[in-house]
Amino acid sequence: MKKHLHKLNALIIITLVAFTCVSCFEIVEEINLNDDGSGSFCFTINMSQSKLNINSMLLLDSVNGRPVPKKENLKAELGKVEAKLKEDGRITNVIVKENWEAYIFSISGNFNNIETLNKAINNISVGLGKLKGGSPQVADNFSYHDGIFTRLYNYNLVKDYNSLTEKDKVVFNNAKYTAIYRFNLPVKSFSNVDALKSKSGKALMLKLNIKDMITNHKTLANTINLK
Amino acid sequence: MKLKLLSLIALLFSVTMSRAQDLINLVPKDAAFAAVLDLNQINTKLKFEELINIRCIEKMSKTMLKDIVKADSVNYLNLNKYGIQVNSKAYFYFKSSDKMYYGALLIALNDEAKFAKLVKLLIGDEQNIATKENYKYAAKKDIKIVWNNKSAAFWSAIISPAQKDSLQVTLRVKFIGDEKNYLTPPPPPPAFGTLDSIKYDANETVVEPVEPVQVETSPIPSETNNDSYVAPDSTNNYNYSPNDYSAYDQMYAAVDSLCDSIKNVWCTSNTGIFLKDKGVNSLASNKEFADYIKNSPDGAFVLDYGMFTKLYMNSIWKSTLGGAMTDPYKFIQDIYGGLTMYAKAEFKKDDIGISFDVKYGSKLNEIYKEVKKKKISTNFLKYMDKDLMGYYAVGIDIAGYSKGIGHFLRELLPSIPQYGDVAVSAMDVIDIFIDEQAIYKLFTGDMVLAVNGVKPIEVVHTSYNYDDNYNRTEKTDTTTQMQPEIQFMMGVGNITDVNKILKLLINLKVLRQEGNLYCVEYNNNPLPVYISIHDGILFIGNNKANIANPVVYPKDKQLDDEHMKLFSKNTFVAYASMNNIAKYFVKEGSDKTQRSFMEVAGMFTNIKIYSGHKGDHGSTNFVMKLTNTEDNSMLDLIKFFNALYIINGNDQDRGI
Repeated sequence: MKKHLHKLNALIIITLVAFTCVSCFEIVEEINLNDDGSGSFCFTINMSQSKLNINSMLLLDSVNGRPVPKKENLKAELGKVEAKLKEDGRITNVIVKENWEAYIFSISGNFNNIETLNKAINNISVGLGKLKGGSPQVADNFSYHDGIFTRLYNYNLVKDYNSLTEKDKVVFNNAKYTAIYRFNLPVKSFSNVDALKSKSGKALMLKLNIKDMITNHKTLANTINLK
Repeated sequence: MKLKLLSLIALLFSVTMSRAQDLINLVPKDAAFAAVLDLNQINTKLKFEELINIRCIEKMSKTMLKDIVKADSVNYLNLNKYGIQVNSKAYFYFKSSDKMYYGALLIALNDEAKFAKLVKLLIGDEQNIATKENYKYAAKKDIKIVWNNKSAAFWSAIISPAQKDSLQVTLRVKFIGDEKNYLTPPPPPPAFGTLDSIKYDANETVVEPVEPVQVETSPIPSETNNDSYVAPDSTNNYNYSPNDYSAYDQMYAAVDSLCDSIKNVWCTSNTGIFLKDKGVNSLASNKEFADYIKNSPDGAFVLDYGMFTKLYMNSIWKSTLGGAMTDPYKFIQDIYGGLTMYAKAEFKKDDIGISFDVKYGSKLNEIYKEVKKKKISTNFLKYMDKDLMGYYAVGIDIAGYSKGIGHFLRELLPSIPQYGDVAVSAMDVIDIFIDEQAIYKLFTGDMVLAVNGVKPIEVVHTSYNYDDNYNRTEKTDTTTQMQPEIQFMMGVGNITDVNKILKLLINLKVLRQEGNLYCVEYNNNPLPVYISIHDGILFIGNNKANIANPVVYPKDKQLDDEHMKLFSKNTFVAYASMNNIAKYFVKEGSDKTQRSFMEVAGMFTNIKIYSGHKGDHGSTNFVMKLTNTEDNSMLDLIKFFNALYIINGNDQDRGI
């Protein structure tokens, strides 16, 4: 399991290291799951609170010795991810939103089953991995069987995190990860003690500090029983 | 070895002197460059033999002077043992003619036995000392020494690029056969397998073309008319086929060898001039330089910039453009003609001052003659926080410079082939349609860019609200972040016309108006930029609140009166508060960076650069104000560099 590290969230995090000093950003993972396992997803990264820093950094060639990705390259890679998802055909209604003024980016779409969603995420991971010149390994992030929805999280990023310089580590100090899962049925039970159930009883929210996730003090893993 | 010799010469330059005579009389008045170091003063601030106790000096000197350190591992920096006294001034000069470039380092040295030891140290063999007329001399490659019982000169000479070019042209005709081939690349190398058929012999290319040069029997140039020397025409001895692949190599080798021969003859004939009293033709009779150094700086130099430019451009122009565009080239030469630069450095107790003065030539004076502005508006100062990180301020005489540059262009452009006259006609047409006076009066020409320090700046960003089912909706939040506050201020001359321009920019969607504030909103604008006009000043900056209502600081929060004086007497002022900058950066970066900034903060209070223009002179001053002077600014500066040297891990190896 330790080999299965660099997945979507890991890739986004590591890519952000290139934007050192971007200390305030939020990743939002949203899944709307139907009873039959189909549904829709939306992954959003919101860096608007750091836009002044990003604007400054985009004017530079490198920060802390790391090359700063060019806006044109980032746009091109996002375009490729969108094209690949559409070409694959298993994810429908694919929408990529880019807000280059506020630095908010999102990818959303519909899936027929959880396996399709996992493959889509892996495609996105590979696409974003190219931004760092890497070739990430991929694995499942979600499962849904017999009314039990599971958020898998088997990453161990401690070693990677410790290898960063103190200045790079600052990037994660105020970064947040928000996971939201919405269902048609009310949630009967869930395993992650940090998660909150909505007033409607049909949704869960989990807000974590990304640094806590990376250092394994907190986890995204959650088993949600709907029956 | 060459590096070591040069290093020792540099050390000698730093510590040598003589009570008995002022070596300034040995320096020719028409030297293109002449420098003086008041070693007597420096020695009172910086005991040279004690520098060994400073780690970076010890380490670097051991590295550079490895052999000398081995010979005397304790006192190798004690220069008295080399016959060198440290009580007066040392000089260095560079002179040039069309044929030769030469220069000398002049020091006082009055002990023959120690002179012999010094020669042995530098040359490697004291037996090589020869006697001629009233001096002794020794040489090894490019290091040449001459001594006359009182003083010594370390000197060197090279053949000038112009002379080398001339020889090259002559030999090119002999070797290649056609001067037009000058810019043609050499023939391609032979195909693989045909090398045996090519007459190519590296040894032959060096030796054969040079042997016929009869340098020893050539006419020897006189000391007073050394430019009259004519190289012996040995080029008729070369008989190579233009098609021979080695022809180029042979030609270049021949040029180099011939240059060496000519140089050797010149050097042999002119050794004596370096210790000859120049009398009325010495630097001592340069009144302007004497006035410039009357306050006894620690070091100073004078540079005939025009001569340097002429020599440099003459060579480059010919070799790169083959003499094309002669007229504009001459014009540019004229621009620098008569331009002389003076510089001096003074290490006082609490500050270090370096100043540069430029005396313009007649052509350059034409640009400046209508420039009347002598100061920067002091109205900006009330908007500048005394705790700012730094600023630069400029006062430009827009009309004066425009007219001067206009004269300049109208004179220069016609000399440019083809397009020059067209450009002048275009300028004439523009003159007809443009109201130049209106443009000149648009702004006053005064401007300041200030970094007011790291201040709270509002950042509007997007965050999220969630309903009862955790459905997400966007909302706008405002947070305060610490950012460097940048503020640009420009004096407005005609506010009505400036407002017209702002309205035009609004119509072009470059600006957006919010009350009395203008926001720059062109596509992909990388940083927030706000504009406003208050008190006859155009404010531009990144702090929306401050630009909307610029803060007027109370008197006790403003910069002190020294800045008022700087603005009143200069047309350019740059200021950096090292303490305030270090306070910000000391929290950033690696441990090394932080420690380095702590050293900077501990060493410097502030750094100022200011310059102005008066008549046919321009003057620039660079002053570093020190925080705490333990000894004197010179020693403190060395200790500061030593601290950085240690912080940066260069103190690991304590061996040689």
